[in-house]
Amino acid sequence: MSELLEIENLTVDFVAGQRVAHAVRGVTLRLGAGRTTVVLGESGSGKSVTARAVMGLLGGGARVGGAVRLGGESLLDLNERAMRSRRGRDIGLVPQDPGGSLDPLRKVGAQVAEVLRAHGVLTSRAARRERVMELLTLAGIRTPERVAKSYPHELSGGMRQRVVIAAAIACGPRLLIADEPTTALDMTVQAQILELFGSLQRELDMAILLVTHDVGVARLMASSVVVMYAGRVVEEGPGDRVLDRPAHPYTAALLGAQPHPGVPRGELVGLPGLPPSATTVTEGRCALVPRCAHAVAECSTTSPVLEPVTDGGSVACPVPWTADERRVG
Amino acid sequence: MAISPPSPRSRPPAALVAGTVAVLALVLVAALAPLLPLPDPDVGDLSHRLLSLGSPGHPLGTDGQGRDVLSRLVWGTQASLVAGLVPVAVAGTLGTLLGIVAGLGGPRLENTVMRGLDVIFAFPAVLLAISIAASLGAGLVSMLVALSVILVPAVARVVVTEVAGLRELDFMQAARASGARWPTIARWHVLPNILPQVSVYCSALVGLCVVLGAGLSFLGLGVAPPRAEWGAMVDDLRQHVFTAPLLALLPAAAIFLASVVFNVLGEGLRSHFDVRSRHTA
Amino acid sequence: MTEPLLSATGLSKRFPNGVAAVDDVSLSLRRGEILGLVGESGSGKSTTAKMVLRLLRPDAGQVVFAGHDLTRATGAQLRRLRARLQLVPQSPQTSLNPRLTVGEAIAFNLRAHGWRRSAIQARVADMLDRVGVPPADAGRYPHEMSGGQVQRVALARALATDPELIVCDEAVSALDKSIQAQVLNLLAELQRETGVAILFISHDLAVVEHIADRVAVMYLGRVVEEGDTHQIWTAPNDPYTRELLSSIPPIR
Repeated sequence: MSELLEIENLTVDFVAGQRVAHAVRGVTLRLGAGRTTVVLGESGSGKSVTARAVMGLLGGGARVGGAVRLGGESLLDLNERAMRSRRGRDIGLVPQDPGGSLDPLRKVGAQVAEVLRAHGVLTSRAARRERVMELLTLAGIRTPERVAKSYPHELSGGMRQRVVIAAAIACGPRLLIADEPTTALDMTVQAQILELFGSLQRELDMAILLVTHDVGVARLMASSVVVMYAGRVVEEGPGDRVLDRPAHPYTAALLGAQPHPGVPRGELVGLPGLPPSATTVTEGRCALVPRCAHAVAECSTTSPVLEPVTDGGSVACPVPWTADERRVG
Repeated sequence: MAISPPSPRSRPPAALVAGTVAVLALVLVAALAPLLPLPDPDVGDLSHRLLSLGSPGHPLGTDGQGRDVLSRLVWGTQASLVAGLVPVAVAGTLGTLLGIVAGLGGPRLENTVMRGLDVIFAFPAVLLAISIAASLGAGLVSMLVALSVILVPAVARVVVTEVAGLRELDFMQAARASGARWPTIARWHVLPNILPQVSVYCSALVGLCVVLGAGLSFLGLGVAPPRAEWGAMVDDLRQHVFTAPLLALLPAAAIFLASVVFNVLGEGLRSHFDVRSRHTA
Repeated sequence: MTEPLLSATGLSKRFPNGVAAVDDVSLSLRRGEILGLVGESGSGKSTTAKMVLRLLRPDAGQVVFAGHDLTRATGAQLRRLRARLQLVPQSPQTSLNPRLTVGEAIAFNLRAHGWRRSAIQARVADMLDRVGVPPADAGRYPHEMSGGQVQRVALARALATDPELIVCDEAVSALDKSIQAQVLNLLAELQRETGVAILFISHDLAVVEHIADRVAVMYLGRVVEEGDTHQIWTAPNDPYTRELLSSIPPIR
């Protein structure tokens, strides 16, 4: 049986003249209807580019390979017009910066209504108005009448993000893509928005692909986690397993780098050095090699492939390692 | 997070190359005027007045006093470049200093300087230049003073805006917290970051200034006759516009061309710095 | 009981529109202590930092640093005090002047306090080495370096004049977690070596818990709770602090 979203060996290169940036270097990922997958990674890991490739929002200059299927339909083969009709209707997007996706000169209620109109969901103006109120309420806004009449700058960051979420779920998408949806928000607001994602998913039965750099957000949200590094998936599996018993040294490093009570000051365990740039060639070896304390000779000569892990998911690291407690300087 | 595509190696924009070459050519013409085999621009032969274009010995004809037009155009380049460059250099320096002082000196100083400049701004620039030049008496120096005075507020306003944008950046806060004196901060942190914008703005002002200088000379407030100057030449030749229409157009075209050349250079500088700032941002 | 290194009392600042950005805030730091100042956007923590550094004049209140009234200091005295009180700013994109090399950025602070040219070069190399940047990189420009490297250089610049207090204003917030861990470890190490006191401003509670001895929690321009980090994390008194702490996603 096929899953709702299937990404098969996705590659994305950005080409400019002689130079090629390999943003995504072969990502395979499956997301079942009504489930949540968190894509966890740092800057340059290719997590956001993967999300944008699913949305068909990469723009010119991007060379895309592999396959992306939503409910069996191949999205990469659609033309821009067809893709536009999928966006907003089948796939909703919640970006990092809620300010950037709202028109500063229009009242937010009208902007949510516009999504309904553009996809022909509701033809009568009155019906759309009523539906906008329902959507804003669904997005956790207690005073939808007042908020609908506001301009974006009159709302707080958290409130704007709720409006964006209302617009994203307006047409009842099967898939919601959230790219760092809480990174620009305050901690207390983040907690509310994450909670909102959970309740919306239960009510609307939609799948969520959530992109984040934050281990805490991943732990809170994930039924499953995909960890990306240098454009590839290095580990994936059930959220509990991946975050409690990481099988890849990089996942372990992400967890060790996160300060939490009990770690003595200055004793964070992470990785030395920097991730490779998108122009670095990493074929035929593990991209983590120069930073990894567990690397053996084989790591520099063979590309690791995802192999099943006994207690769930899979990992692209053949070395039997155990977490070390060395700090990085 | 987001990966931007790799940027191609940047080449200097065509406008920058073209503008630089053209400006150098103008400078060369002005500098070489005494060496070129041209008749004396200030001495005419009244028996050869108003010769048409292509006359033997006078390829661009002669004016109402029988002076060689080509020679006067070439020599006039000197006056036009001086009229264009000197006021901009003076106003660029003064305006930058004033703008930095206003931008770094705190809100009260900024307000005082800006209100003072607004007073100058309140007068139409051309009228102000005419009245300053007229009150100082006709001549090259008073023309240069007049043009400098009207350009200072324009430059200062650009600088104040740039400094205001810079002021809130993290490295400026750190520089203020470092304990350095403000002139040191201006020298190391402010100037290098505003010079590109200021030089772009100033190179465009040169074009404007060439036109204004010619205008003042046209009105008899600039370069004193008989010295060759394009604006004064237009004034001379316009009397004969019905008998020798093409002749009157020549100095006007020279003014137009010089103004375009400096604007192209300004445009070239702007796109050059734009590319650079995108790389360094 | 010894006199605190920094004591700010009754700091208040209103924005031109009349809204109180900071309202009667008092803070004190002992020598060698790390005080975390946490709060969400609009809590007034950055405005407080600017007043402590005298980048902004308070409407009311005073800042006493090492026995000197910083609010009233002028001229040469103010400049001498500033050498002992430095800032590490937030954004890797703007914390260094894009038109200066990283070596020049550090040299600027030294020159401001009368260092000789010959001594400056050696000091720059030494500072870069101490923050883990190869001294050979002194001639590079900020845009040629990674965000983590830039923030290391900003730290080197702040420490160059051997200050007694540095203010870190969200200095690691814009970095990726694995890079943030490196810089936090470095900061802890340098603090141990130099004994510098740190006013560490951040919205990230986990980071503050990790680095700070004491914490002050700001909310809507006021300090709502202040105390020992461990004590606040285990038994917060103020309802806002409790809400803030409960909003941290579980790490383990």
